[in-house]
Amino acid sequence: MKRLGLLLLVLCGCEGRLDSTPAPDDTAVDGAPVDCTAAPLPARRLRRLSRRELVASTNTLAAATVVSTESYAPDLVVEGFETSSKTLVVNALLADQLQAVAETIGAAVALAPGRFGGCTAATDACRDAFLRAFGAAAFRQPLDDTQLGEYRALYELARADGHGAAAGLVAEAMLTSPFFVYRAELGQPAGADAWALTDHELASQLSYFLTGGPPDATLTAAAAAGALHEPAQLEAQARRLLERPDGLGGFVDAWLELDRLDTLPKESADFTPALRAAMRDEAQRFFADVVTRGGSYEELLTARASVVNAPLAAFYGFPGPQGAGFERVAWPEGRRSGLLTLGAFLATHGKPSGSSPVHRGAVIRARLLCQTTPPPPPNVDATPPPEQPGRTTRERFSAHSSNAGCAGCHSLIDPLGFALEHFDGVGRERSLDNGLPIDATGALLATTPADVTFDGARELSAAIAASAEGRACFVTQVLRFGLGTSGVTDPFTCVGATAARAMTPATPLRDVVLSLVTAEGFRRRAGTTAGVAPMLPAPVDAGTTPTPVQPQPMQGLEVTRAAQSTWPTGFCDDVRVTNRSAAAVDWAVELTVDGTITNAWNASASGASGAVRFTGVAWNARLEPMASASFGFCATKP
Amino acid sequence: MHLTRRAVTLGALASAASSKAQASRPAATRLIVFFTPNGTVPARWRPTGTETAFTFGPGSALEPLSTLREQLVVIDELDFFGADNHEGGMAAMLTGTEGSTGESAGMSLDQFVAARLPAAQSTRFRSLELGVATSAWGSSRQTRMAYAGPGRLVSPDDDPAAVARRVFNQGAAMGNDRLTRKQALLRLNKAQLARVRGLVPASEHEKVDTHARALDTLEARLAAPTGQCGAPAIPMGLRPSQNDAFPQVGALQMDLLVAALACDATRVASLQWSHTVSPIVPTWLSLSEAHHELSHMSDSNRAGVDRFIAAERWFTEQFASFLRKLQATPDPAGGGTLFDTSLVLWCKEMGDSRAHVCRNVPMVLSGRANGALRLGRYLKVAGEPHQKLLVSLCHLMGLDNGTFGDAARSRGPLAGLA
Repeated sequence: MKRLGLLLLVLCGCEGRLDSTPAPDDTAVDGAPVDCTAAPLPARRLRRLSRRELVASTNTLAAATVVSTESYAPDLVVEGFETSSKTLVVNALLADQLQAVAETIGAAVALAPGRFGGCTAATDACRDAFLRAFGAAAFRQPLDDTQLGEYRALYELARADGHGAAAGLVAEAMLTSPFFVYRAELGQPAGADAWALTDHELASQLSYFLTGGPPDATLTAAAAAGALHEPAQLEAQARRLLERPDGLGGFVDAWLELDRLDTLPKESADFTPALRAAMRDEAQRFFADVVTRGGSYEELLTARASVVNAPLAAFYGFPGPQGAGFERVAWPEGRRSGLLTLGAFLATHGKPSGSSPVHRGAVIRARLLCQTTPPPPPNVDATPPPEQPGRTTRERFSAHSSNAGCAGCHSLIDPLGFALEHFDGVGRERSLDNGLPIDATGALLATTPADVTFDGARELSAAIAASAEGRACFVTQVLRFGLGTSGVTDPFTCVGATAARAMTPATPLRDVVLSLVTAEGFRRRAGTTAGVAPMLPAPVDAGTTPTPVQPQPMQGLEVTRAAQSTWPTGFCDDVRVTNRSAAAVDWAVELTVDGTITNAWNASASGASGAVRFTGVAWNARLEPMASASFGFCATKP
Repeated sequence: MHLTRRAVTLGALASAASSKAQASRPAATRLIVFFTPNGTVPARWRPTGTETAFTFGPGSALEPLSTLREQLVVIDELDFFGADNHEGGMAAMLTGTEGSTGESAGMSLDQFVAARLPAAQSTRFRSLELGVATSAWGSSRQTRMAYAGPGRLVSPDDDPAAVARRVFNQGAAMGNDRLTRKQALLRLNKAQLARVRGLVPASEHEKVDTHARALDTLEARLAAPTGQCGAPAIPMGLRPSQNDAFPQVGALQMDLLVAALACDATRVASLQWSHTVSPIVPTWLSLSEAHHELSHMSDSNRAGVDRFIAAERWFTEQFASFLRKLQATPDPAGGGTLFDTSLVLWCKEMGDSRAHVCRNVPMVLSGRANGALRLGRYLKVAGEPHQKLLVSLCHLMGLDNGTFGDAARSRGPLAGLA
């Protein structure tokens, strides 16, 4: 399979929230890619619960909806997710917020302590019953003797005020305890250089991964019985949990940034909060439905059915369920096709007043193909012409293809959004745009297979479903969200690479997830701490990485060249030029290009292959001492 | 006991800072940073006139500040060298140079002053970060302006109810029993965290230590006196993340900030309105485009530029109302108002929003800074690096660091400012 790298594109125009996709420097790319041929195990970790996991864990304990993600400060977005184990920490603001939530739960427990331990008297027996019951639920494993002693002592401080008050104080303490806030992936020694996760650690990892919340009673019992580490047991529990309609605990919501839909302004008055909530719900249920029914990646992208309630079906304009709830409904003839035509995706990535092809296209590149787009270069007026009668949305962006400087990059982005032009800014199907026929044709470039042409959402979705990049990206995104991976040095990348290699468009998603769960890297950890990764390139199954060529720089110019992406028929490189001399220079750099340049940005290229001379453009041609300029280019391979 | 412990923790920083502080020069008591997003249209922002005789033209972005003109220093033609575009500008705006390893150690201005200013070490909050709809897109270079160090983004609190609880409803507001129990609870959390530290590999130590510092902060705050703090009432059912709540949340956050300063809860505060590439739609101005789209109107689209300037003027009105609140509120130490003793920076992350450039970035200073800042001026700085402005602001706070961010860009303060 192809390297799970980033394809760096550039835009001359940018609209909407294009640069909200993670830029490369947002990421935790912190060294050379991990060497998967050595089959490395992931490092032992302490994973702070993500905001979503904190919400699920807290509400499960309370048996009520007490908190939402807005109860906690957002975490750092790394590679598009707030779930990187490396960056999830408890800072002062979050510590304060955890405390506030714990006070609320503590107060509720104080009023009805009998739910845990089954008694309400301030006796030693009742105290211990509460501590053991609440502790096991909060910490996702039984209290050890040290913890029991600690909480007995805390209980004593409030015992005079009765069992309720004392239990409430303990509950408050447990919900701010590191044993609640973190889940350990530390394990026990298993041989010289490996650790095996404990059964309870495995239960937590499995449960949060597959359901988004803490282990249920069955899983907890399996862990307590000490058999969960056996691969057959682990797989059986995973299969059981995958029958639940949890959809990997809100994965699709985070993957497609659908949580933004709640607060996004829309002009349509009938786009009510209830409808927005129903759309997010639909996306979650649709994904869970595909998983539980044994659907594949192809099914995810091309399904002609969804799970809707009556108001949502009415909004979309097709027959809905008879009942009050959500039901699976086959779509009537029309242009809808799976994930990308769900109302939640279309509306979240549409403008307040209309569709948003450039932004939608950029999101598809970033979120479905794992190819991110940098912001436009400075000094380019990125202002699209205003909406006006007699022109389609697509025509407003015609400069992106007529201007050669823009087209090289926008041809990779805009057509993906044009394919969805049959859907307006709130996800309704339309046959005309501004009263004019819609052109939804285009080509999917820079994927394998290459240059697949399409007309409309169905053909685009089929092309993505058939692409190696789409499948590999899906696995990468699942790992980022569910297992907290980030960066190319993370050995979990190898677990994903193996799974992606084995995956076809028709492989049930359930089997893809099971292959991640049953991998050795899921249940074992490396003996040494996460440190220096081996300095070897990522595995590439097709094509080759362009060999960086030592440039012959001008006097005092430091030139670094890095491969940004490579695929069987082409590659993109990034170059940085730094003036290390004492005087300002107008820089020029000569590089060997093994291929034919299709487009370059932030520099002018003389020639297209062989020895190519690059010079700066208006805003970066002159470099002051110690200043640097970055440029890049993409090329086809010979 | 906990105060002592905190003093020890912070002692190294404080003593380093006090040796640098210059007691002889007047300096501001506190620093307030005020941010509004998406650059501006310079031709519609720029005042006309000379350094001391200038006006804000009819219909211009700053016109709502006309009556406060004598209370401002308007700074034009600053350049964020080495940064461009939305995210680059956002990251460079207060750090000078993103990821700097120089004197400012990659910190943003507010975090640097909070770490170095001796008086900031004994307030309940070393710094206080408030936001208005900053977090719908998570925490990233795009949505954050405060840095505790390279890559260490600091999130503001967007929820007025949470701010009210944190600032005005803790510590001494509790009964003695409750305080004792809460302290015991925190001690237990810390003991457990120390135990966890012993179990995890070294690669996870930083994570644990960050948590431990956070608990130290909570513990110290619990023991600190709350002062005479009066919190504004927060309406029930407010949903701070909702677009249409933006003006109301902003007004509440300004009130909370002033109330927190009035009881000396902190010496360093910031208020961040949305973030670069802001998706906020100013529906309260009967506008229907997102702020970022509004910021992208070509000069040829005159009506479009007018709509953006309407949104700019609204932010100007918020800044003006904030300054008036400072003028109307006594300084907790007596002898003047918060306006007399504070240094206020209104910053932006870009210059001309249409071109995505960080040149000619507009900045406005205010507050009398205990006499350290000469007000009523319009300074054109001819492309000076904004790192020099950051140095100047540190000096106005009584610090004497020689550089901020990239040292080569920031040798010394901005000429003619102080």
